[in-house]
Amino acid sequence: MIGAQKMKYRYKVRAYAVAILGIVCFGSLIAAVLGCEPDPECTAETTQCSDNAAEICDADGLWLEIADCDETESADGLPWTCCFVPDAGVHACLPADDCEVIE
Amino acid sequence: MTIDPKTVINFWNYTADKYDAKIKQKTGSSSMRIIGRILVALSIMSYRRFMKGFVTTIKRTIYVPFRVGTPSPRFGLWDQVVIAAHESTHVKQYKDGGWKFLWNYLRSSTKRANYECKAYHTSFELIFWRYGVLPGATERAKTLKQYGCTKKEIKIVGKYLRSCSETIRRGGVTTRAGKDSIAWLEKNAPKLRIGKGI
Repeated sequence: MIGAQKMKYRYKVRAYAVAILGIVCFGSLIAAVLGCEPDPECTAETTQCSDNAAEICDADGLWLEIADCDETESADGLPWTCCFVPDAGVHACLPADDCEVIE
Repeated sequence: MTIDPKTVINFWNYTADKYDAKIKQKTGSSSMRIIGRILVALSIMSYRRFMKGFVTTIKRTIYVPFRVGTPSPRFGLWDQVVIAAHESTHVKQYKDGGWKFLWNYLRSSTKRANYECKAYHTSFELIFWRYGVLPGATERAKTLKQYGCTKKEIKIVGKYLRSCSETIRRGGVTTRAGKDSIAWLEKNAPKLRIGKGI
């Protein structure tokens, strides 16, 4: 690449970098000012069952769905239920019979 | 069981059709070259690492650092199948969330970790379908360090993957991309399944 073109390309890259950083910073500022971030609703890392779905509390303190047990499918077509799995220390979707054994 | 390169190409074509995605070579893309330079300017990663070591999905376009159907030391043929399913999850996330998805992914490492959880969930479903065993949840979560995620976020991803591993190990498939991919593989490449998986 010719020197002048190379410089032009570098400026272009820098301009893109500054523009992206600017958009992210400006957007974050607006979000902070407007209070877009929801309040924490749980303790990070905890898991739970909610409406037959396994959920985990994310680092922002918001529930994140791991799996909707009603949407879980298997070859045998049997129903899936959310319950606590002691060995793994988490809530998870398991075949309904497995959950009954654990409980 | 070796994989026929045609199977890999057909699988990529299937996922591209199903999720309305486009596949492009990373090295031939000027936008990828610019992003690579930006990552260098921000000291996030080396240009070579970004261009050769990562598959990148932006909106509906999947930029790949390999030729689909041609194995490389870093991206074997089965890896390419798993990557197609993983990236189609991100395409679906974009289709469901639009610009909000892109914004969240770029802005928040927590949201990025959450989106990657879902894509890893799909990868785990495919791996278990083929081999009947799962990768270590904690080890897999640690790869998110490259995505700028914190130790706390990585720990949460590990726990997320432990939970979905419990489901997968018992034969459960939950993600949309996992269901679609496994149905295609069952129909078109059932011999790839060498374990007692799903």
